Amino acid sequence: MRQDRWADKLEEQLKDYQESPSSDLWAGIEARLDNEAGRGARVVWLRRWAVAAVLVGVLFGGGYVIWQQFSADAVMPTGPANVAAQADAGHDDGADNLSVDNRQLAVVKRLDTINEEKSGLSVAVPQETTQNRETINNNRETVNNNRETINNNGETINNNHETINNNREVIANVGEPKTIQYSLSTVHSPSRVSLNLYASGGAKGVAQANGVLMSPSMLQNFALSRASRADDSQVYLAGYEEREHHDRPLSFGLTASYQLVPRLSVSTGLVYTKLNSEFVTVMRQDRVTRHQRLHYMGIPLNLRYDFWRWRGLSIYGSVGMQADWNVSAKADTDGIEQEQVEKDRLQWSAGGSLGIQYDVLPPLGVYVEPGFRYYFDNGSNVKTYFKEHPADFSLQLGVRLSW
Amino acid sequence: METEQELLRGVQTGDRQAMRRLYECYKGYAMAVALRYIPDGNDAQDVVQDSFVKILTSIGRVDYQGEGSLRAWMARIVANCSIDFVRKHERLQFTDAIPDMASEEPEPERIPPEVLTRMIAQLPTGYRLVLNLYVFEHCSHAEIARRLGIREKSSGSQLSRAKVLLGKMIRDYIKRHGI
Repeated sequence: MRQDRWADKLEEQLKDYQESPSSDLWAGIEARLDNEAGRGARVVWLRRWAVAAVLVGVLFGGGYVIWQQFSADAVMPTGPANVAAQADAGHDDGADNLSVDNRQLAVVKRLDTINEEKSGLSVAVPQETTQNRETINNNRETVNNNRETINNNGETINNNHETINNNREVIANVGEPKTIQYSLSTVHSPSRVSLNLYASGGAKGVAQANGVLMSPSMLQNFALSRASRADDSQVYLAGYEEREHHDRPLSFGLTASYQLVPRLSVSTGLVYTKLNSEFVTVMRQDRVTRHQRLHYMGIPLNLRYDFWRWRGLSIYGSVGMQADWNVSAKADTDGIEQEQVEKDRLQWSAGGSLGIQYDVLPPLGVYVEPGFRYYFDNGSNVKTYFKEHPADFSLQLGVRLSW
Repeated sequence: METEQELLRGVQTGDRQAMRRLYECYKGYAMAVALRYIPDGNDAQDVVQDSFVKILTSIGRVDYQGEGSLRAWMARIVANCSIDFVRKHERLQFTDAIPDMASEEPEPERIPPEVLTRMIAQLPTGYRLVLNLYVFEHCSHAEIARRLGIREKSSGSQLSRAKVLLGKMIRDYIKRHGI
């Protein structure tokens, strides 16, 4: 049954019409088939090489950052024994230097110590005085006397006594005038920058089916005027249906975070998202299946607040927005690629999440972030998961590299 | 006589001779489909060639669904390739103007198929695409709107306009040839 009689007659009239091409096209088709076969093999190899190159890059890059982190830890004094040993060594072979430099001594503070200080704790630092050299040990803290340097975000404090005013820590000492300096460049400081690599998404999606409305002309043909219907309800065609299924978005992101103030950090980067959809048009016995694949590149901007930290465990919340550009749109109908597929417009979304992170190594943490995201209507005709399911829960899994 | 299913099986095994037979069997029909969308014969031939390359490189994924299904699938591919060609080479013009109401229904059955094909191909681009998708591809207005990136309402008005224009061509032809 067709919707219009004239359309039926037109289709019937041309149903078996054939018109031979004026020239033989087979030679060209055969040559193109040979080319396609060769190109397919090359594309497969190129893809494999590209994946291998990315993996090697990530492994070496990550390995280098971790190695740098451990190298920094290795050269840093980590306890009284080391500090004493270092102090002794300085005394043994650096007597002249001590006299020239007026015995430079450094105060080195570990992350955990500084965190304690920032919480408002005052730490009394034990002292050792050996002639012109003074060693202060307190949780990986070394004080070299006469000119004392405490590094903390480039802040310099001059004092006759060893005093770190910024952290309300007073190091009692009697001696010569000393310079106290905090600097990021020479000591191990709190993690301010981190790199996040994550994935989110899943295979399940949303599905729906719509009936196909009978056209006004067909309503006339079948004398289904308003009067014949109980109300102004719509009339659907029997046997015609449009079904659609949207997979959940699958995303991979690489973002960098920067700590603005203690506990609060901002992050941005690049996120790749893939959307798969399937549209099935059912016309009685016939089915036409169309697959749509949309690829987005997005830029997120998030604020994160750390609620709680204990040893390697932390709980945090984050809110932010994201802009996604549809960089590629592909579709095939019954397995045949369409050449021109309409791209989606810029997609904005906003959301929040709650995360938990565990540091498996000092610089390397793994995290899970369940969250909520709302996709704003961008007004385009392209049917996507974002439009069918604008409010969505998501789960993000990732690793975070901090230094 | 080789059936459609046997032909499909042969092509799916990669047999070039079977592919050639498939081409010989359906090239005329494919050309007729392309000519409904593309007025120029040479352009239509290029599209038929592209379509057969796509058909033969994608046919491995086809599940046979009964006699006539292979031909219908191939016609859809030719139609899709033709639409892509038209969108690439012609400026799509869609108008929401209210069509003049036709006094009577067109009578396509009185027109020779080759003439009718040329008449459809001569319709303005928007009318031609919508009419082809609606009449021969059995698309709903919602589907047409999605495929062409237009509003559903526009699809309906384009079809009405196309019907009026085609009806006028048919009546003129009948009058001229005294059929």
